[in-house]
Formats: sequence, structure tokens, C-alpha cells
Amino acid sequence: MSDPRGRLHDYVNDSLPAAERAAFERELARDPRLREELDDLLALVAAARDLPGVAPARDLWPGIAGRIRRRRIVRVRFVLPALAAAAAAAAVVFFALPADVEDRAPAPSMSPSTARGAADSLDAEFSRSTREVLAALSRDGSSLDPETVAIIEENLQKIERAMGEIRAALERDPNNAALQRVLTAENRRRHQVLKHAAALSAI
Amino acid sequence: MRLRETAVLWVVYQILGGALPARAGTPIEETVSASPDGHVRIDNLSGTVRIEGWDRDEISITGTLGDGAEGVDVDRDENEVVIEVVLPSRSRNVDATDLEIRVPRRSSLGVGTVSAGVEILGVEGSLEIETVSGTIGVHGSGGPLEARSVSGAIDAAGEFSRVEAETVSGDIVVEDARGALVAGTTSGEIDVRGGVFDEVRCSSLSGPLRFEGTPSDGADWEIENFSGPTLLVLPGDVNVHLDVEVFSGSLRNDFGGELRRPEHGPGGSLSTTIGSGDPEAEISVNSFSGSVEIQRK
Repeated sequence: MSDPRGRLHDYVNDSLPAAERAAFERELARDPRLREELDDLLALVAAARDLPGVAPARDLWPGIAGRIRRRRIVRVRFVLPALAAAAAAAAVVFFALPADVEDRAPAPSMSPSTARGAADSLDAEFSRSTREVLAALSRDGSSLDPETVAIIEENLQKIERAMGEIRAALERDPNNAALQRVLTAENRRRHQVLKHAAALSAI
Repeated sequence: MRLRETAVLWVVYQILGGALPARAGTPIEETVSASPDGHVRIDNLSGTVRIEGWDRDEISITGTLGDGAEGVDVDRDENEVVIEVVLPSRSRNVDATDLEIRVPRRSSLGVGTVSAGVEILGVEGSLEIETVSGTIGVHGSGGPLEARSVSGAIDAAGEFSRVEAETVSGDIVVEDARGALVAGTTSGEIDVRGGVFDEVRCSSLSGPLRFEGTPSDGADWEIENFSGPTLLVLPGDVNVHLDVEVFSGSLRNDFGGELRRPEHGPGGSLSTTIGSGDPEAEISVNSFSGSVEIQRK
């Protein structure tokens, strides 16, 4: 089987032929790193769907937001289907390349320009959500002090800058799997901080 | 569905049914029974939260309520106790509340703060802590730790079955831990000061990453830094296979092995086995533009 990482996206979409799906699942059982990458991809797509306000139960922030005297709920507007689709497509960019830089992956099923566009769309959604959440946190009536809001804003900007630098690096070294991983990690971190901020906006 | 065994206990007296905030500096003192291995959740936006394990099946809550806070709410069901500092609505000017909490040693904990610092000692269950800017300090007693902050520092020392620490700009320090370590930061510093690890996933974007530790048999370590400097310190008698890849940063290795340099420009890679016997562990180090140094202890 050629590098299975090129089939991650198709596997998640359930679009692999039966034989290829079975072969992919054998690889999954054999290769814990591939399993991790699949889990990351699934988590990223699920996370994009989860973005609006209500966070997964395991997180502590909704507990804080929910149980510390809920006076008002700020609803942040997200375009869910577009976001989920963009996340899934962008995931091709994050995961299609091989973990081992010596082992070049086949081209992902989505063209680079399409994947790039999807990643841009995801970024645009995050940027819009960030503005709305920060506006909600800064509004009169928020229990958060301005210093905390500034910390959240500043750190989201740090993540944005870091992601820009990683993308620039990927243009210089497009097959660098380590760069793909750190980009994925930053994307996940950005999502977590934004989700926390959205939960805090309800306090 | 959550079964509530008790009504809410207001540990701070309230005037006119709680309509007015408690006085500044009001002492907090309450004790509730708890299961020996139950879950305890604690929420406090600002101030401090200090938690210590003890050998009693009860939870003791002491401390001082911040000016403007309404009280401390303690809610208990069969297997969970929730302790939260209650704030009035539309109030940004609430002073810090300091909590000192003793819990049964085998409890698991979930702690959430915004700017409150968190300190945990002697608790053997799983520990989950999240904060925006508070510092997190944990002395482990064998359970897993999951700590996240935006800008607050995370300091973990002692025995853990697994450590997961993540920040955006806060520093992460891990001392003499064991087992698995997953640490990630965007611009903070990662400093691992000793310990024996089987699984390591350490990732930094621009902060310095210093890792001193010993791989256990069969260990699998992955250390990545985008642009910050990376220093890996290994024992002199280690048996490992080491892969290092640096795109444009410098690379230095005390253990020898042939550095492969590109024809043009900086960077390089190294794939070598260190030690006299069969490699007992795999270590990979990746950096884009940061320097990498592998140092013999």
C-alpha cells in the first residue's frame, strides 16, 4: 500500500472502496502514529463543528461559564456548515503529507489551490469569531477585567502570527511533515483559546 | 442526570437572602463529607486556589472571600463536590478570593480559573486544570496531570503517570516526572529538568526548549521547535537511535555521528545510534530555523 496518509481524508469521508478501506484499517492497526493522525483529523473536524458557544462537556470552561451566575448569554454567530467543510478540507493540508520526510506522499486528492482556499476560509471564520468573542468580552456587563481580555486578544494574535510564519515556512519546505504537525497544533490551540473565550463571554 | 443530595451551602453569611455582597475579607470556613475517591471541581476567577490531599473522607474549605464576591457555593452529589466562588452580575471590580481546600487524597480534581493561581499538593487522582493567566503549580502524587493556560506558567514536579501541559505564552517547567509527557507552547519556554520518560511529545513555536531526561526502554520521543533554540541533554550511557532534522538552523551533537549538510545553505540532518548496545529508544528532533544541540550529560 502506498503511503496511507494520502487516504486519511477519503477514509474520514467514507469514500474509499471496500478493499482500500480494509487495507487502510490494517495500516491503522499497525501504525499508532497513523492512528494519532486520524484521531487529530477527526478531532479537528469535530472541533470546528463545536465552535459556537457550547463546548464539549469535558472542558472546564463551560462549567465556569454555566455555574458562575449566568446573567446573560452571548451568542456568537458561526456559519457552521461552511466552517465544518472548510475544516475538513483544510485538514487535507494539515495531514496529507507523510510523517517521515524521507517518504514522500502521493498528492492529496484535493488540489493545493482548493485546499489553500479551504484553509483561508477556515481562517476567515476564526478571525470573524475572534472579533465577535472579543467584542462580547469587552462589552459592559462582562465580568472579565480588561487586562484578561487583553491577554486573550494578545495571545490569539501570537497564534495567528505563528501560523503565518509556519505557512511561510511550508512554502519554502512544502514536504516538511514536522511543520505540518506544528501548524496543526497551533490550529488546535487557537481553537481552544477561542472556545474558552467564548465560554467566558457568558459569565 | 445529576442527583443533588444537598441544598446549596452558603459558607458566607448573606444579608437579606444574599441580595448584598459579603464584606471584604470575610473568612471562609466549611467542611463537607466526601467520598474517598470522588471528583472535586473548583472554580475561582481571581485570587488563589491551594489544594492539598489528606487522609480524611471530607473536604475542608477555608480562605478569604474577595471584596464584591457573593459567596462560595458548595454543591455535593454522590460522587462529586463542586466548589465555586459566586460573583455578582455586571461586576468587573471583584477582589481576589483565596481558597485553601483539603480533599481526600485519592480524589480527582478539576480546577478552572481566569487569573487565580493554582497550587496542588498530595492529590493522587487525575488533575485537570485550566486558566487564562493564573500560574499552575502541581506536585504530583502519581496520577495524570492535564494543565492548560493561555499566558500563565505551568510548573509540574514529582510523580505523574502522564503530564499534558499546554500554553500559548506561559512557560512550562517539568521536574523529575515519569511516564508520558506531552508539552506544547506557542511562545513560552519549555524546560524539562530530569525524569524518565517513555513517550514524549514536546513542541514549541518560538520559545526555547530545553529537555534533560532519560529515555526508558522502548521510549519514543518527538521534540519539535519551529524557530526557538532546542537543547537536548542525554545521559552519557544511553542507548538510543537519534534522528535530527534542521531546515535552516545550526546543529551540534556531542555524541558523534555523521552530519549530512545540504549543498547550499545552513541546516542539516543526523541519523545515528548512540551507545554500545541495541538501541532501546527512538528520539527524533525537528527544527525549522532554530538551533539544535544534543548534549551529553
